[in-house]
Amino acid sequence: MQAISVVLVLISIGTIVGPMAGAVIMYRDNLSQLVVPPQINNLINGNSNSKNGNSNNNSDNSNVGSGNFGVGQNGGGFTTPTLVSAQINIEAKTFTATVNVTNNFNYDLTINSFNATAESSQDHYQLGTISMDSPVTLPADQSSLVTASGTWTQQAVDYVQNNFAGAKSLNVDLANVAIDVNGITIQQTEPINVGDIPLT
Amino acid sequence: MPDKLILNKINIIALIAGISTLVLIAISVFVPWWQFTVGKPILAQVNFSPVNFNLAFLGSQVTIPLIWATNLACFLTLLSGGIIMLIYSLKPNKSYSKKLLGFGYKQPLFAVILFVIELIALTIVANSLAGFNVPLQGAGALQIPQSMTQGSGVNVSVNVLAALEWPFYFAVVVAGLCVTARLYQPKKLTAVASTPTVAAMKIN
Repeated sequence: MQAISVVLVLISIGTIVGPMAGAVIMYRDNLSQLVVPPQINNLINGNSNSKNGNSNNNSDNSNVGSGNFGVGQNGGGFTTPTLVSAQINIEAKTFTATVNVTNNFNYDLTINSFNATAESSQDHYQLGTISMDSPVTLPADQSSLVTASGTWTQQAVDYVQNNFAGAKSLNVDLANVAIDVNGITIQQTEPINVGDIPLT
Repeated sequence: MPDKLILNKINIIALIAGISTLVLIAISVFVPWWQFTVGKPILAQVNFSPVNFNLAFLGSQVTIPLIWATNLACFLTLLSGGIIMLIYSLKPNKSYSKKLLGFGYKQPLFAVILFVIELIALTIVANSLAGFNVPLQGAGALQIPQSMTQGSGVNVSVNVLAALEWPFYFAVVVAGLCVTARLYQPKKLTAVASTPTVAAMKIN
């Protein structure tokens, strides 16, 4: 009877204390790593891991961001998209814009949707809308071209004719930019200037 | 008649509970009790059971040593509980049986209680440390705090999906079986003791 009790107590203690003590002994030099291992520190600091699961501790990695999660110039996730080209079909009142998006993660990402409003930089008059036709996959650690298309209204045409008669180009902002990447929706609160769009 | 006597020497409920506990351990290693998914397609995923915690972020596995040790402790505790429950079920009328039962029946119950506490603690910690309102069950959109986007002029929200998986409910059933075995014990002892044929058979 007594022996059984002792054995059960030893089992109770051993099964709980054993693994805990083992972990504490393994990390006795840096106990904080018991809770926050280097892998998590790397992720928090913007050091993304490679696709095969290896982590790195290099602080000079080109992917190193400022520790943020989202969009920014050379941020941890994406570089702010840059306009590569734009085509305009005046008769059809449509346009397409191709932007360069850099995926700084070592992980394939998918842009599920992209929506924005094109407006005049001068007075923020709404010219039209722009969106992506279908989801686009961005390969890991690569820049990819993403094409979006849009339309503008007759009111926008009248606005340009009345306010920019004779002008060869119009400076345009993208406002209300919302992009869905792998279910992460990023909404830009400030307009993004895309430069001069030729009118002729 | 001999079959009935053999059955009388086995606590059937404890036997089922013991076997179920061992099955539960095996299942819990591979199938999570709770799954948390971030993004669509998946960016990060947490698979959580008392014996296994699996965190994958951007395709990389992250191991948290303290949780790993807790999982191992839980695994060993459940395993010992299941084995002792089985031993008890085969020898329910020995003088030490009650101690075996007293030890064995608690382990799945503790595992379920500990799991629920850990799950709630996890959501509280995620909320207090990072400002994430992590749902325990169902889909939702996590709003990333402005402090994490460092004034870059963006609002970020993340689609997440949390779900308690079927092994959790199985664990609740196993814990219920173990408690039932514990409650069934006194009646069985009384029944065996008050059956004169059993004593007569043993003397013969």
